[in-house]
Amino acid sequence: MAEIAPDILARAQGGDTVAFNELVRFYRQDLLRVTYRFVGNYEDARDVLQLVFIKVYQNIERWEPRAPFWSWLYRIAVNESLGWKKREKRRYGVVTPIEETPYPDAPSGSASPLDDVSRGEIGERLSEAIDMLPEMQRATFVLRYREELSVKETAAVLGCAEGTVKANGFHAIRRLRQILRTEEPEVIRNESTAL
Amino acid sequence: MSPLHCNTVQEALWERAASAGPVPLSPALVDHMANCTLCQNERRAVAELLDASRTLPDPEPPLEIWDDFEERLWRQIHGSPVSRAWDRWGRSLVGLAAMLLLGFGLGAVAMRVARPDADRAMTAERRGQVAETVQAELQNEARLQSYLADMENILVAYRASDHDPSMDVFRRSLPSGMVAGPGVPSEADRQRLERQRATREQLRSLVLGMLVSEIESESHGFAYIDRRVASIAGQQLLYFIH
Repeated sequence: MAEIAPDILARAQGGDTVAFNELVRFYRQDLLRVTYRFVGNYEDARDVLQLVFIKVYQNIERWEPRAPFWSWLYRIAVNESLGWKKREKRRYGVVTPIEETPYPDAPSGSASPLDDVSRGEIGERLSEAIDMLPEMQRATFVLRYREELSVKETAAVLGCAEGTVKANGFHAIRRLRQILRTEEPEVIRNESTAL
Repeated sequence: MSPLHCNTVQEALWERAASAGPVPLSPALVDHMANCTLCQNERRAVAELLDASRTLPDPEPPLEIWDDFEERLWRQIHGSPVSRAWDRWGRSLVGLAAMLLLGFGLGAVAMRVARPDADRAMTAERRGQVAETVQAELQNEARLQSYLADMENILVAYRASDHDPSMDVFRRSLPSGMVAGPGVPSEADRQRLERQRATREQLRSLVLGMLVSEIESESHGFAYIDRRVASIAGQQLLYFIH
C-alpha cells in the first residue's frame, strides 16, 4: 500500500482536520477493499471502515514511525473487521464448524474440484470457505494470499512472529483444501467417473 | 513408487505453499511426485487455490459508496464517547475523580469506625469483609467494576443509619449491585447518594471507554484480548489509586 506524504501525516497527528480528511481520502479505497474481504459486502464494509477511521482519529497521536503507517492502518482494519464478524455471529448465530480431522480424505485421483465450476462460483465458494476458517487463519490467509503481503508484512500487521504467520498459513491452506473437497463431492465424483 | 506416504507429501506441499518464498522440492518428494497422481493433483489444486485467491477480482463497489462518507465520519467522531479531547485529558481527570472517590470511601469507613452505633459490630464485620475483598481484588489486579461495587457498599452502609418502613422504597431505588444497610438515610444524604451515583456512572463509562480504546490500540493479536482486558483494567486501577 502506498504511504501518504509525511507532512500530511504529521499535520493529521497534530489535530489538523483538513489533513485528516486528506488522509481518509488517500487510504479509504485500499482499506475498503480490506474490510470488504473480511465482511463480504460493501454496505457492512463501509460501516466497518467508518469505525476504522474513528479509531485512527482517536489514536493517531500514539502511532510511532517504528512500523509503516499503512501496516498500523491494516491492523486496525483487520481488528475492526474481525470484531464486526464476531458481533454478527453473536447476533445471527454461529456458523457450523468444519470437523477438524488430522488429514483431509485423500483426493480421488481427479483434478481439483475448482476445475469444472465457473469463475464466479469459484469466487463465491472460496469466500465462503475462507469465512469458515478460524479467526487468525482467516486473517493470515486474506493478508497473505488476497492482499498479497509478504510473511514479514503480515507478521507486522498481525503483531505476531513470522513463524506464526507461516503456521497459520499452513493450517489455513490445509483447512481450505478440506472444506473445498467436502463441499463438492458431486464434482469430484463426476470427475472420477469421467476419467 | 517411493516409500513416502501421500499424507506426508501433501503436508510438505501445504507447508511449502505457506512459506516465505519458493522452496525447492526435496529429491524424495520429487521422486514420489513423479509416480503419484494423487500428489500431483494435490500440488496443482493448491497452486490453483492460491492463484484463485490472488487473481479473483472483487465486485465493484456501488457508485454511491463514498456519498456522505466524510460527513458521517465526522458526525460519528464528534458523537463518539471517547473523543480526542477526552483521550488527552481523560486519564488525569479520571485519576483525580477516582482518588477523590477512594478518599471519600476510606473517610466514610474511618467515620463509621468512630461511631458508637448499635449495629457497629455488624458494620465492622461488613467493613472487614469489604476491606479484605478490596485488598484481594487489588492484589489480583481486579476489575474496576467489582472495586466500584465494594466502594458503593461501604458508602451505603455508612449512610444508612436508621431503621424506617421506607427502607424498601430506598432499597428499590438503588442501582443493581448496591447493597442497602439496616436503615434509610436522610433526604439530604439520599440526594447526595444520587449525585454520587450519577458521577460514578459517568466515571465508569469514561474509564471503560478509555480501556476499550487502549486495548484496541495496544493489542497485538486477537487471542490476547481477554487477558489484556484484565491486565489493563488492573493496571489502570492501581495507577489511579497510587
